[in-house]
Amino acid sequence: MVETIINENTIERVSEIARLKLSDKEKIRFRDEFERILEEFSIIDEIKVGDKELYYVVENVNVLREDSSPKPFNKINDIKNNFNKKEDEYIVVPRNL
Amino acid sequence: MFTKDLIDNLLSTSIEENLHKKSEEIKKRDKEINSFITLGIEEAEKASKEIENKIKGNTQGKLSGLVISIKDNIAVSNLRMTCGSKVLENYVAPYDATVTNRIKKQDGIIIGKCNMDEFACGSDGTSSYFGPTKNPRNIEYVPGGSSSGSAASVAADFCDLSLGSDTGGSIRCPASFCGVYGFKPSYGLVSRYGLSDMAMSLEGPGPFAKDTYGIALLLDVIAGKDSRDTVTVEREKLSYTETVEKFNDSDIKKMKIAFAKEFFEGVDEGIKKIILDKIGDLESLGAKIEEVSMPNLKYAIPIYYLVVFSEFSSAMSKFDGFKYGHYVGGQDIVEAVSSTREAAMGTEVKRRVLLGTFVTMEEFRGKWYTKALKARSVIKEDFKRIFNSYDLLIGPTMPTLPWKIGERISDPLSMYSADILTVSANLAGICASSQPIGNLKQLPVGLQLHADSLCESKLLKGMRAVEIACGGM
Repeated sequence: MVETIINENTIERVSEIARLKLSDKEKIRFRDEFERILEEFSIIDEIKVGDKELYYVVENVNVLREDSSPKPFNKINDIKNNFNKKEDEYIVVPRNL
Repeated sequence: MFTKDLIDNLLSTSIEENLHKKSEEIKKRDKEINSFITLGIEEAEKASKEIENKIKGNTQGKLSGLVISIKDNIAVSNLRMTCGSKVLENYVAPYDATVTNRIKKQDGIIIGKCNMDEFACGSDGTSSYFGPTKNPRNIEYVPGGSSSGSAASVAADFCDLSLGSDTGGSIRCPASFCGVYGFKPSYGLVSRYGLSDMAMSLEGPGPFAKDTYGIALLLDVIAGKDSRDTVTVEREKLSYTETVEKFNDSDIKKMKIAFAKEFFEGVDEGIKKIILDKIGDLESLGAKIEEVSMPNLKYAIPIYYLVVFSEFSSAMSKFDGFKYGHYVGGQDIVEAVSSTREAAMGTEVKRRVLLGTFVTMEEFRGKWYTKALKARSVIKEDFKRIFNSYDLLIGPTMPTLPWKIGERISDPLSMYSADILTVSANLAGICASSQPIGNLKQLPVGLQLHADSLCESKLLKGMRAVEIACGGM
C-alpha cells in the first residue's frame, strides 16, 4: 500500500483545487483507481537518483529576440468570434464578489 | 521511392485530380474509419488551383501539392480545432501554427483536421469526443493513439502525408498499429507554436508518411528554429531528403546499431521474432549489431506519467469556458469553472487533471513529482551511454498487436502499459521512428529506431536501411 492513502477528504480537496466537480460515483471510482495507479507507480522509490530535477531536456537559457517590434496580430475579430458571452467589446464572466 | 515518384507523377499529371481522388475516397470510406473531425475541401480545392498555376511556371514549393492532413491539436487558421474534445467543440483557430504556416508556404494542400484521443490522452484512438477512429487495416481494431486520425488517414490513402504530435508515443504507436511511417523529432527541432499544449517538456509535432522519403520531405519543411517557440534550436544544415536519396546499400556497412534486451521483455513472441529477423537482415547487409542494456526502462512508465499528469493538469487549467470553449456557468466563478469542466471533459482527461493536481500538491510533490523529475535524468543518462558508442537503438515500437476497439478503455493501467517502449524517447528528448516491417495475424508490426538528440539524419539513414532490408525501392 502507498503511504499517502487517498482518503475521502483528499479527493474532495483535489477536486476543489483542480476546479473540477465530481459526482459521488466518480469520487469512489477515481479514489480506487488512484490507489491502484500510485501503488504501481511507487516502484520509482527504488531508483537511486541525484539531486538534479530535469524539467527540460534542452538547455537554452535567456533566448533573446531582435529588438524590433513584431508584426501586430490583425485578426482580432477571429479571436472575438470564439467568445462565449460578450457585451459590446467585452467578455462576460460570472460575479467574483 | 514512393513519395518521390508520386511527386514526379503529380508534376506531370494533375494535383487537382489527386485531391479530387482523395476527397472522393474520404466521402466513401471515412464515415466508417472516422479519421477526420473537420474537412476543409473547399479551401483545399482553391489551394490546388493556385499550386497548379505555380507548377506551370515551375515555382512550386517543396511539397508540390501533396495532400496533407493535420492532427486536431495543431492550429490551421479558420478551421475548427477541437483537440478531440467537447471542451473545444466550436473553437475556430484564429491563426496558423508555425508548422501549418510552413506547410502552406511549401505548397502542401491541407485537406482537414484529424481525429485524436481527447487532448491527446490515450494510446488507442478511442477516447475522442467525436467517436473512436478505426484501424483501416481492420476496422474491428484500434488504430493506436493519440494521433489516431493522422495514421489512419495515411493508411487509408485519404492523404499523402500527415502531421501529428508525439508526447509519449502518440505518433509512433498509431504508425505501428496502422502500418505507416511515423517520426518523432528531437525535442526543440520542430516549433510547438500553435500546438495545443498537453505536456510542454515532452511533446512536439512530427510527420507521418508512406515511406522514409515522405518523412524526410515533411521534416525538411517543418524543422528549424522559430522565434515564437524559445526551446527550438537550429537544425542540421543538410537536407533530410538528400540524406535519404543519397543513402545506398553500402552505407549500411558503416552503421553501428544497438539493441537492448529490456526492449523485448514482455513483448508478444510473434512481434519479437519479426523484429529479431529484421535485425538479422541488417546484420547480413553489413551493419554492426551489438547488445546493450537499458536498466532503467522498467521505470519509464511511472516517471513519464507522473510528469505528464503534472504538466497536463497545469495545461488544462486554461479551459474554464470564460473566453472560449464549452461553458456551463454558475453562481460564482468557482462554481462556473468547476461545473464547466465537469460537463465538458472526458474521463481520461479528468483522471489526469486530478492525478496531476494530487502529485503536485505541497505535501505530496516531493514523493511523486520531484522524484519523477530526478529519475528522468536517469533515463536520459541510459541513452547517452548507448549513443556514445552507437548510431542507433533498435527494437519494437509496441509490445502487442492492436487490440479490439473497447477492450482496454476501462482499465487505465493497462492502457498506460502499452506505452512502455515509446515514452523514454520523450523523457530524454531524443528522436525516434516507427515503420512497418511485416504482418502478424494480418495486423501490421512496427519497428522502432532511436537516435541521439538532433541526430535526425542518422535516424533517417537507419529508416532507409530498414526499408532496404525489407526490399523497399
